[in-house]
Amino acid sequence: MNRRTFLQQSGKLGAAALAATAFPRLVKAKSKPTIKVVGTHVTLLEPIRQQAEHDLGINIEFYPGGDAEVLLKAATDPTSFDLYEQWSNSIKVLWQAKTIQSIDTSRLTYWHEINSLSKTGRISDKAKLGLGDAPCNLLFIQPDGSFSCVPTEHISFLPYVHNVDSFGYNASVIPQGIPYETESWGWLLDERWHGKVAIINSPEIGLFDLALAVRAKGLMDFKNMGNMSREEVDKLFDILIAHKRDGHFRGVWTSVPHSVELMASGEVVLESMFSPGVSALNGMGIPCIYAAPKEGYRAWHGVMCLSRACTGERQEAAYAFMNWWLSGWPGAFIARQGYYISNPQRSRPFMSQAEWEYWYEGKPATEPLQGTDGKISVRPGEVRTGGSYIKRFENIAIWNTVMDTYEYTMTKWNEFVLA
Amino acid sequence: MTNFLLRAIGLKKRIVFGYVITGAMAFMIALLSYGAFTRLSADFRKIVLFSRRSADNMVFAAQMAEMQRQALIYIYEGHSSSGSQVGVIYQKMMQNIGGSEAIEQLGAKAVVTLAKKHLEAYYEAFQEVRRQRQLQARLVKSEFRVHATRGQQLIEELIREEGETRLLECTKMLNALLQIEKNAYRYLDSFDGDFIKAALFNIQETRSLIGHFQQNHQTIELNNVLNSYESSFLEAVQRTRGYLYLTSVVMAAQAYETMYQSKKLSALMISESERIQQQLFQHVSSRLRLLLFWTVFLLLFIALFSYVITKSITIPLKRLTKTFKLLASGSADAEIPSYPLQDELGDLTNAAASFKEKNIALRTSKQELERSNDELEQFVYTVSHDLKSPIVTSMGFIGIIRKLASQGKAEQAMGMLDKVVKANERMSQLINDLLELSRVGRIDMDKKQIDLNQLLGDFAHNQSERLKAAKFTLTVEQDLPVIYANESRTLQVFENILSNGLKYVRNEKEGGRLRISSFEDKQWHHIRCTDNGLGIPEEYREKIFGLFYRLDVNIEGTGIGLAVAKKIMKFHNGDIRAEAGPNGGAVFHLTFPKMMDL
Repeated sequence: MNRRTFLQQSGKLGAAALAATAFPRLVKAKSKPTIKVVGTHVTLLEPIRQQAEHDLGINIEFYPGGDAEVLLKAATDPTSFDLYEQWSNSIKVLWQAKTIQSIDTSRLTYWHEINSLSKTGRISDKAKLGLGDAPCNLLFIQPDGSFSCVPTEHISFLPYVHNVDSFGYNASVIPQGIPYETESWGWLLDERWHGKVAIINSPEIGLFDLALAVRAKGLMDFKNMGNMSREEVDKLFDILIAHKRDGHFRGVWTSVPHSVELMASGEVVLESMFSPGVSALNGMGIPCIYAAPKEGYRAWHGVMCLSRACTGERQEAAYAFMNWWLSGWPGAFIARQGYYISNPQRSRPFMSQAEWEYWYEGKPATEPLQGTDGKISVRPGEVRTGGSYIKRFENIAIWNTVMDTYEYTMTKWNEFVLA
Repeated sequence: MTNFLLRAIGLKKRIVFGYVITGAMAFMIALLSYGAFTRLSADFRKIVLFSRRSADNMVFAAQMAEMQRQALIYIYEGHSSSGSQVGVIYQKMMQNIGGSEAIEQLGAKAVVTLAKKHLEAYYEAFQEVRRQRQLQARLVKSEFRVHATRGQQLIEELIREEGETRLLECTKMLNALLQIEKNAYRYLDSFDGDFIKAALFNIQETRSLIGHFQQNHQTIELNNVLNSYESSFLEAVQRTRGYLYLTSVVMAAQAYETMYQSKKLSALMISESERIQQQLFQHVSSRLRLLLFWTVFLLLFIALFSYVITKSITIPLKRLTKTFKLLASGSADAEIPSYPLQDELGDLTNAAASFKEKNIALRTSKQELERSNDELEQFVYTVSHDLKSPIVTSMGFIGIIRKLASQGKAEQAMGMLDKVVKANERMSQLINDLLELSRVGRIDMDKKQIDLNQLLGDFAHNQSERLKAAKFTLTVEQDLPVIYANESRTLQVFENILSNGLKYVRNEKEGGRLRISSFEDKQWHHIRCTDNGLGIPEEYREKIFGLFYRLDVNIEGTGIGLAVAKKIMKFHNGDIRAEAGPNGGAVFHLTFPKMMDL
């Protein structure tokens, strides 16, 4: 299981998704302490659960679900979870809903190992901060209850899994570009690919792909793309809806398999993509290239939040689980899916030299590398697009963000999708 | 074809066959017409079905738009009837989309499946929207009011207890409390996140103002009410965001994908419909052409076949008519048309053949009669001439005798009487021979198998004295055939030939000789009687068989013998002719039919 299923169930979001009833259980608790972890399929994987139970001696129940499904659940019922795993853009919602509590950094064993990307928003001194809600802006809880990059001992989430996204394109149709030089978000609005462009169906993600494209094409600029005003949203959607009505977009995709189907069928040659979708297409023999846009990536950061209702023994277990996540093995495990951990060096001993060089250093694979399913996912000589971990995160254009105009963008998104 | 029919198929069968073939051709034309129209009918049904399905899909798009409109009315206005209408439209759409054989044939099953999948997802999302909307409505319409009212009551109680001294603070608190509800509703109306902040600020402000008062049961309850109010508001915000997300993101995407797949299906159906229409036109054209071709072909075939059948009937009829006309005019040479079958025409042909045989017989009889008349005339002439000669001779001698008697020359007259007697004897011989000639064919003409070896051996033996006296040699070769003939008449022929040889063959050197030999061919037994005389000049070889004809009048004879022989051979359906012999002599060549031809 990997991020491929990120939005896999969002098509059926409405039904079981937001149901008031309990989430389907993966494991029935046998003894206390038992913690309930709600989140997405990206990290709620059975091997991880088993390994954690084995290492920690606790019972862990995973409740994976669709994005909006788990967010609404967590935002309305803190008793439904002990730990919540999702993206940093959900933090504002949960904090505002007061369903999560702060995390005490003194109880995090490896807090000091978490790198600067999560704590300051920059992987290196020359790195771009990136627009939107860089994780550090949401990380530290100030005395007045607000978030900022100013370090405190209380944080809103445990920084752990993160990655960068861009768009994928079919190199058998679109001439291959040069990473960071010619590859551009503007390609999403290139007339040459009229009718064969798709976007992820998520206002807090797809909107930024399109905003980056509009700016790259010089159609408009933003005062702050990471927090657009209503006027900017209106103007942006005027452009997008015009393109949509003109037939430029095939449509939106609602899951990674859907994105794969669209490109595999030839209906789409260029679209927002997640890394697993690109891998799947290449596995099918379709030369899908995951672009390294010169404008920078759209980055995302996974967050692990502690329920407001999690106390006592379960809270102890929850902290133990958070510490376990940064203890090395999980970081190595998710690295084989292409994701990064916030304290990479702790994971390095759990990876081969070849794995480390390929996944983190952006070097050519020197041997076949296995994925988490045991199958060969990387062949010798292959190089990860975008280069090393540092280089990729030095080129962040924007972070997935829930803007102040979140509700408004949703109504405009509705117009765009149905245009 | 006509020849084949004439040779192989009888008249009745031919006529029946003609009707059967014509009927079969008509049936084939009907069958072809039926096949063509059945196919066209199937194509037409297909196109009607596709048209109906296309229309359904057009309706589908309109229904999708209407369902989305009703959903939005429900979401933004809360009209439950619109919510129910969405369900009704959904059910109709699910019933109408795809599911037909035509869709499966079109290969659009995957498209229909996708459209259904997205439609189901859309409706499921809407169901959840309704649930979230109801939860939100409960919070907004009930809990908000309860919290706001209770908070207001508590503040008013506080005002009454605190009096005028803290009226301003209490009023501020009340205003802040009322602002919570106002901003909450503004948020719910506009979905502007700033009003969330404003409402939360109002809650915080109210809470802060409460803090200015001494803690008592009213302030404690007021704080509790505010906490519940805040909780309800935040939940309402999340529920609102939840159904907004479902509506604007999930449902919108599913609606779009449903519409997209529906349009794709419509495009496929229209394309297929056009293809079927094109195919229908082609089928109509090709079927009509085919039908026309086969109809013309079969009609031509029927015409040709009828012509052949007619010819197979009229040709022999015309031939027979012509033949019968000739036969009726008495022709014996009329050609009997060849007709191998034993049918009605065969019977007519046989009748014509019989008719011809009769004509031939009649002609033969006529010829025979004419020849007989000729012969009779010749016979009368000859007989009268040859019989007249001894009478004239007798009358001459009688005149002389009378004259001598009147002169008294009785002795001389008596001498003359011998002359008269001889003349009368000759006339008597002539009459006997004529009598014999007339008997041939009438008296003692029974036939039987005769071994010529035996017959002629005995004949030679019986003639030996005579031959010896005449120094004449008769040689009868061996291996003579057995013939079917009248024994005495046959022997008479050989006697006449031998007599003729004895009279006419003069060969001083070798003496007279006659050799009888034979050979045969397919039809005849040939008997050759070869002498070593002087032969018979060619111009006399036919005449010698005439009555009273003699090559040498000085040689005794009546000239009837060979005529008798000729008649006997004719009687036996054979013949006798004179030929030149190998060494200058004469050959009497006799032919007897073989027994099978008798």
